[in-house]
Amino acid sequence: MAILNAGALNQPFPGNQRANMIANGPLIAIDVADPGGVAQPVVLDPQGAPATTPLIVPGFALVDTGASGSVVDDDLATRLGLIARGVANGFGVGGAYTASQYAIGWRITNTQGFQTVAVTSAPLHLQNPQLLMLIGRDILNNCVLVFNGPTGTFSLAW
Amino acid sequence: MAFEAELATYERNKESWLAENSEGQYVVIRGEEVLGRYPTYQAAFEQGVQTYGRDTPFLIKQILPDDPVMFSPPFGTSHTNFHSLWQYSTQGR
Repeated sequence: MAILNAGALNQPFPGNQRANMIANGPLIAIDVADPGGVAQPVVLDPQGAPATTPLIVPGFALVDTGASGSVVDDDLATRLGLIARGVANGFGVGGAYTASQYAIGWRITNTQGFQTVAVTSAPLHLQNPQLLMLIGRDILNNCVLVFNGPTGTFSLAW
Repeated sequence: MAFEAELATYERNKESWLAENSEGQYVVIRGEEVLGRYPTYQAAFEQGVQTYGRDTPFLIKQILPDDPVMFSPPFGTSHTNFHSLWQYSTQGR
């Protein structure tokens, strides 16, 4: 079992993890990629260098126990050229809706291998250009999450 | 509607798949063609891309008696204050 022990970002209240956790929530540094790109073997050019390099985008994910499904930023989905692989039925403040579902590859920064998951998309970049993903309960259902509010830390095991 | 043919194919086969204890597995469908059933979403995606190519639309659907309804809270109205994240990101990690 892998365990990630993390504290809140050290902003905007340097040295005060609890205040930063209240401000930002549990954020994880991640990489996101088109799984169709990272799953394929690397093609080398005649000089032995990679002829094509899959686009891997670093940023942050918010652990969101209130979301039943994970979400990727819609601008990022466009940038990666993702193609819809399904349809999801949802219910939000505006009532029932139908949304396209995409396959994305994601990993926690500095770990090996991308996991391919199904996500819908939403304009997360309007909050911050580095917020790439909401990690919803479809992923968290396979994890142990310990949220320590008083210390401003959390642990995620999977 | 997107994937209209694929979803119709899914509905035609769903009961028999459930009867074959395939609940929870993922099926890959293109048009009326069923590529196969796979234990994980990742395995279904990889087989679909290997067979049809990355740029070809195909449906990946989990076999369930009832389709789940997603619930997402109104993003941006929660406690999250990404102004601080923006400051953090502009200072580098």
